[in-house]
Amino acid sequence: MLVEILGIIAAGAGAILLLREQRKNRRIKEIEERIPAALLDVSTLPNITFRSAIDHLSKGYGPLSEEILGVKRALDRGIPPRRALTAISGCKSRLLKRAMKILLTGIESGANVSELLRQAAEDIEEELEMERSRRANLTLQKYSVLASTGVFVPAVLGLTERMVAQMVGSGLSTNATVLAVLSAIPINIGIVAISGAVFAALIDGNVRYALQYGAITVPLALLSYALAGGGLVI
Amino acid sequence: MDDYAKYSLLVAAALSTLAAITGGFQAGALVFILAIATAIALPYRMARARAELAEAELPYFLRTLASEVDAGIPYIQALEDACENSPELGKAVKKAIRMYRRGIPISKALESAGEEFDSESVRRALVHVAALYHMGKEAQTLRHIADAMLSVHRAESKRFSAKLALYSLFFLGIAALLPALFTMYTAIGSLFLTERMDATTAFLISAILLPLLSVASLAFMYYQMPAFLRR
Repeated sequence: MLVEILGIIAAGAGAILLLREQRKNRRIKEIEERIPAALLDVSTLPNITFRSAIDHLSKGYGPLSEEILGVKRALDRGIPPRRALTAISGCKSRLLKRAMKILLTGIESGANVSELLRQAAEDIEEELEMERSRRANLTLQKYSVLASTGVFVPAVLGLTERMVAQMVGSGLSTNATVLAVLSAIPINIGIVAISGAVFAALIDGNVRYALQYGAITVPLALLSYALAGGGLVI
Repeated sequence: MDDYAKYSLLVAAALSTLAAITGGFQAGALVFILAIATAIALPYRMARARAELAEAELPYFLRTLASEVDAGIPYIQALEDACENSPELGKAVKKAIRMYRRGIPISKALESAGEEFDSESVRRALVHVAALYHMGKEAQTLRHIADAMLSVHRAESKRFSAKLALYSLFFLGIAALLPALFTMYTAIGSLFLTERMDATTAFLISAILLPLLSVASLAFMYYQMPAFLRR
């Protein structure tokens, strides 16, 4: 019973860590998702200046506007545009920085800003579209591997262990080969759960996530194994 | 003989000696052949993997460059910016920028960057990147190349998603069914059949070989993924 409770606590803690990390990334994604529409909107403004573009972007675009608000405040304090842009340097969105740079340089160079912004919006949208299609393709793969390594594989092995234990019956304690195979099963389950976590982290593009995924899959796997196997070995 | 060949031979000899001591002459010979084959294939495989990564980064590299040049950002600055999100391609292009700063013409520098990759599309694209600098041609050509590459990526992506279900089944088979069958086999073998496996071998198969097979099948799944889907 203690093992089951510890397993649930460990898996819960891992899930919380993972959720916290993913919430941060979700905000960056939300910001980036809004950039193409925001640039297209700015491209329709008459006589676009950096100031008018920033004023327009600083409201109505959710988290994107929250980031732009810093630039607006800097401009209000009389800081020159190029230095004001350092207000978004804390944001980890590469696309936002690129959009702002194109906006400012385009305006400064006297290029056709509307056309430029439409082009930039199209480029960024294309990049986001590829990322969406990547996620659509791989999310199912990632979760099926996590479910397999965290639940299905340990459950199948736990059930197998239970069947073997019933089959061998009282002779189990004297059967060295069967005992050796059964004692290796938790090791197998642990290695497979860790490799599933690494695989999921690689799909997310950040090996650091392996720790968080591992904090969920390893206890979950041992828990499923203990439940399916009737807690024979653990 | 270069260093790589020398070290490969040394490692192959060491591994085959170890195999020969533990498993006999045939095992030693087999390990030697496998080690040499790996040493020969490895550089080609690594060069191809590098080229695939560069090809995956190319559309975004070209689009960033095109947007920034259109916006009036100086060419070299735009080139540096485009390198930021393209680690593999960026490394070679940054080297080309350093060569350019030492006085080598940008077309020559980019050409030599292209030569670093075993990829015709990377080499061709870098020729167009150089042309943008020399002829001041519209960045539109770069966008066309990027679009063409993206549509190829989309088609490949669809083809890969059709294979995904099969790979998941394959993994479940190796990770769950194989160990379960092995456990049943040892139990039945020790109870009802004359065939008995010694405890150490059974433990090593179950604790090392079978998990390694699962890890290998996951690695196989990962490397079957087109490079542009990996990050």
